[in-house]
Amino acid sequence: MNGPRRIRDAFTGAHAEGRTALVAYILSGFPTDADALAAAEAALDAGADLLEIGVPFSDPLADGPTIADAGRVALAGGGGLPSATRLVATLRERGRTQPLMVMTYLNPLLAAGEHETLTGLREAGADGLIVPDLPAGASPRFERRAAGLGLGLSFLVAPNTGPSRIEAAIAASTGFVYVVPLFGVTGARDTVAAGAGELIALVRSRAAGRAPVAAGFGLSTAAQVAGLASVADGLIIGSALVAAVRDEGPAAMGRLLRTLATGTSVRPSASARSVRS
Amino acid sequence: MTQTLLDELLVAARRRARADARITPLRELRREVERLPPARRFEATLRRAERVSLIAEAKRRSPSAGELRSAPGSSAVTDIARGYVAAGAAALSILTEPTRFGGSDDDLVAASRIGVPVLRKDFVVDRFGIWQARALGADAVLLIVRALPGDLLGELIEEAGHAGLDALVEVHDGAELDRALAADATLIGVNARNLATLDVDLEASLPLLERAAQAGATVVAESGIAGPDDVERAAACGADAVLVGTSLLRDSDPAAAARRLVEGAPRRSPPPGLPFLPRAAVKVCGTRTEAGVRAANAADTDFIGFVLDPRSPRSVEVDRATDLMAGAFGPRLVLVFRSPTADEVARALDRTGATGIQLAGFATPPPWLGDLVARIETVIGVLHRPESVRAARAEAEAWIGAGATDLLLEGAPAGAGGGSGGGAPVDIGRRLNRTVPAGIAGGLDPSSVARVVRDVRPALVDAASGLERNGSPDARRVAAFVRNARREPSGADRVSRDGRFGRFGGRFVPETLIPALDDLEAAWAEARRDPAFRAEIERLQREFIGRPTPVFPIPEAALAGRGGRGATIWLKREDLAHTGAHKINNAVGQTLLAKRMGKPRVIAETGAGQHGVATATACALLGLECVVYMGSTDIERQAPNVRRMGLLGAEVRPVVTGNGTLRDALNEALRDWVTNVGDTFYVLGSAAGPHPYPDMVATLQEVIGREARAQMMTAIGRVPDAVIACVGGGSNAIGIMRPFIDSAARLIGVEAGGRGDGLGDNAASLGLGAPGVLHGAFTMLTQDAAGQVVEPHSVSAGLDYPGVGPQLAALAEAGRMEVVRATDADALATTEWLARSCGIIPALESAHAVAAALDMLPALPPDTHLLVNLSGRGDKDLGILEHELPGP
Repeated sequence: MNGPRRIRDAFTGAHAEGRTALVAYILSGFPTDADALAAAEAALDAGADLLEIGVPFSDPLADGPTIADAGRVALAGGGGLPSATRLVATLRERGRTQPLMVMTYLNPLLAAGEHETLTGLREAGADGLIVPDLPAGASPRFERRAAGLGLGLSFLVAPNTGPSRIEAAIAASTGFVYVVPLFGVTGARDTVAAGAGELIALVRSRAAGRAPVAAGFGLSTAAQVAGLASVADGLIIGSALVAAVRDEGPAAMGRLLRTLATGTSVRPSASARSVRS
Repeated sequence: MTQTLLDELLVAARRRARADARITPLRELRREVERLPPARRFEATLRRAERVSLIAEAKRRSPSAGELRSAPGSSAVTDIARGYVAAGAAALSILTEPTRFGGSDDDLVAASRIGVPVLRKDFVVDRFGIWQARALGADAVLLIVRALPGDLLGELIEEAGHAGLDALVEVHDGAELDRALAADATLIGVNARNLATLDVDLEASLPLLERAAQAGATVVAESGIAGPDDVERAAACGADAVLVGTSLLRDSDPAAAARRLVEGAPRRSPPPGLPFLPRAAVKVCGTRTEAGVRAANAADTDFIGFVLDPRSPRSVEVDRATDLMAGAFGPRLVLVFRSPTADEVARALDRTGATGIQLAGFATPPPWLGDLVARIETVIGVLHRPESVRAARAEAEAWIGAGATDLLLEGAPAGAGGGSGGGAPVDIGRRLNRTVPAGIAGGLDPSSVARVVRDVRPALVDAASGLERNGSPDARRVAAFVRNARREPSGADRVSRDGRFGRFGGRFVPETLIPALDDLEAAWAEARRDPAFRAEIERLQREFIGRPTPVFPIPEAALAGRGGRGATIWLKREDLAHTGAHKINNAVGQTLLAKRMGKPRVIAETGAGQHGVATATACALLGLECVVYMGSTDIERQAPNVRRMGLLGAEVRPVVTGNGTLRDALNEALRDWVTNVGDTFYVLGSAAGPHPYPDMVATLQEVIGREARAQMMTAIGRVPDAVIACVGGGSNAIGIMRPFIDSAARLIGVEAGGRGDGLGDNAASLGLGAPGVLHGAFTMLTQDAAGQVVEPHSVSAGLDYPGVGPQLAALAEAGRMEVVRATDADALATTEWLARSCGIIPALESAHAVAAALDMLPALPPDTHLLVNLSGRGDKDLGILEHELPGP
């Protein structure tokens, strides 16, 4: 199945079950390849509808301390794009059919040749890519190449993103649209940013019928998830899961994700909305 | 390869071209190619070699030989190609055909970075394949005569010329050779494989080699070369090179097999040639007045021509030329003749004392030229409207053999004078210039010259009538002509609308920063047009920074001690600017802009602390809140600057992530900006980062070069021979170099060589790095094979940065800026030397630039002038110096 299709099916499937999709971020190679594999499987077993497989990078300028520090550990242990690609391949070998999107900064994708690298990711079983330092429209060739290979792309929308850039992000997102409802870097926060719901709702209304909309950055509790479940097609949990892997291991991370999953039910009023793929 | 197989491959090639064109359409490919520097000279490398060259082919498999290597993959192909080059292969051939050869376009991209010319071996069937080859980094493209019926062959040979590529035109038999020659192929490959039987018959191919060579083509023997004996046989029949793949790849050690062929290759006498220079020289011709000479002087032109041909409307008498020449200094002076006698030339040279001549009106160089060439520097031979590229090349090589130092391709026929119409013969020129550096003339003027230079890449451009207004030379037109002729064809000299210099630059940042960068770009564009804003910057430069900073020649006695023979090293004294370094130029400009934009809070990153101090200083003056991010390692090694920032009221936030150096500070500053983008202005310290920073910072630092150029004109009456600066991120380098990009001066960037050339031992992103994306820009980086950025090393904290400003990356790639390295030890020793011999303690960063200049010194003739940017003073480095240098 091609990547964009599988990504969108995951959102449609969750919606059919009356909940928002749960997107889990797993940092490949952290703290070891084996732990990352265990974490990915634990996340899928705990009900994640889609996995983001993070690639550690030497200069993670969009990441806060949790993921940046974990990335250094992963890099020191030999992590990087090759290890992330292997993780994807292993999950496929083990029969996992959920959508897997690789989240990486741009440079590792370019280093070994853009064409060969993207082809390798697709062949390993990746369904899409999230590249935080590649704005929509910055490289039409990259977007077309990904489309040609059947890799979905997700572009980001921030609170200060203007209408034309929101439109560009929606148009270019063959995966889901990734809303970052706050100013700042990745990392768990105690409260959901003011205006988050409004921003997500705005993007969702513009994207209706074209792309699902998921929101992330800062979510760490079931209450936060419940608060946004009815607004977004999907919610992304990142740093909180990485911290759980770090502090208590993959199994504990799975338990945390199960707890968060209790907040994903969509209120009936909102479930009338449809997400077409 | 049988006809059926060829047909099958062509069908696959067409399908592939269509699919690829959906990813990158032809017009996008062409735009990409426009931003690339010229391709390496594939054909010229073969033609000019002293021995028969090896073009070594790397491929994963082939239909005739099957699987060739056990571990097919891009890195395996690249490793094999590297082995070939180390073994002495002159050029590479990379198979990119995927269906039967297992090739990949990425193999080509990787091979193009190795350093020798690369042929794209594939089944090119249309224009798209040619431009794609160039975009992927190829320098030459294979055109198979049998695959290209009718006019298509000639059209694709032309198209390859447009794309700046050489075309290796492959023939299998006499009829195909006739077609290749008729299509004006200059580089012909004779394939010894019989297409019907797949047998290889070297013997049968030898007469074809011979015939191609006699027709003036550069000739390559393909297939059937198994060992040194075969090379010898091919060479005896006129082959300039052999292309070998399968037999090398079947060897257990392909590099060793390549080495045996290289070492056994027979010597040959190449046709006479001239060196290729990175850019076109400019000749202002037909000068008749003092005003014309002054205009040419002022425009820093390379040649001034005085026409002595009485039939020309621009001719002058010999005595008049002598008078005019007295007013010229700098440009070389050339007397222009048409069909003169030996006597006429000799007499004119005697009377005027000129050292150059230009000879038009000859079909072949006159026999008496040999007697003259010993006494003059410049002999420009004119080629009149040749009928083909091969004919032009034969004529050109005859001129060079007779002693010509330059060639000029004219649109006018031999019988008519210059300026008699006949536009510049660009179709011949662009292909001729791939193998012989030739100039071009014919109707050039200020508005057309940049286009012709970009298209033809000539060695010389010449204009006369195009520089006149109302019949006499016009100073403004002359200046514009010279300036436009020296535009960097790849766009390295100025920023494009999408924030690129050549292919480098751009804006690769998280979405949150896009609106902030848009706002910044708009505010900056508006501010720089505002005379009041410019006046305020100028006032602060004068009254607060203390500009202009002087230029100071290192005393001759000191230089004599370092092997100097009369050359002068001038120091641009940015160390005398307020706060002790050039960084203040940028900080004042950006903080003024912050204030104008109503941003109350300023952040900055700093490595050595100089930019942090400069920003803190400007913020104190303008009443802005200032937060400076500084790596914890740097805080330790640059303690005095940390205290200065505190005293100036800035908050220094230590960055403990990573290695605690400049890049970590930059990452953290960007994180702060993402978080506080509403009220915060980010004062970036180098000409790096996302657009518009590289251009904005360079523009604010340009004052260094503008002052220096004027100061050098006053001091020595011309631009210096070289402009030298250290390169970390590169703001001091681009600042002093930008105003010299359109001059004849060499530009030399000095990177931190650290403790050696290993990854992580230096900060040489230009010399030893690879292209990639960091901190918002596509540029050159010190990185590993997986794209992880590697922590650089330099004794000087200000050069300790893994990237480089995109404009410097583009200037280096275009060959406009030369890149050298100075080591930690060089910098330390130079710091001590300059302190003791001149009484100037340079910053360790600046000492790298001085070290490179001292290194050049013994080889420089008298009256050579080097301009070095002494970008900062060394007080901040006392701690390091005490630690690194033995005490007195």
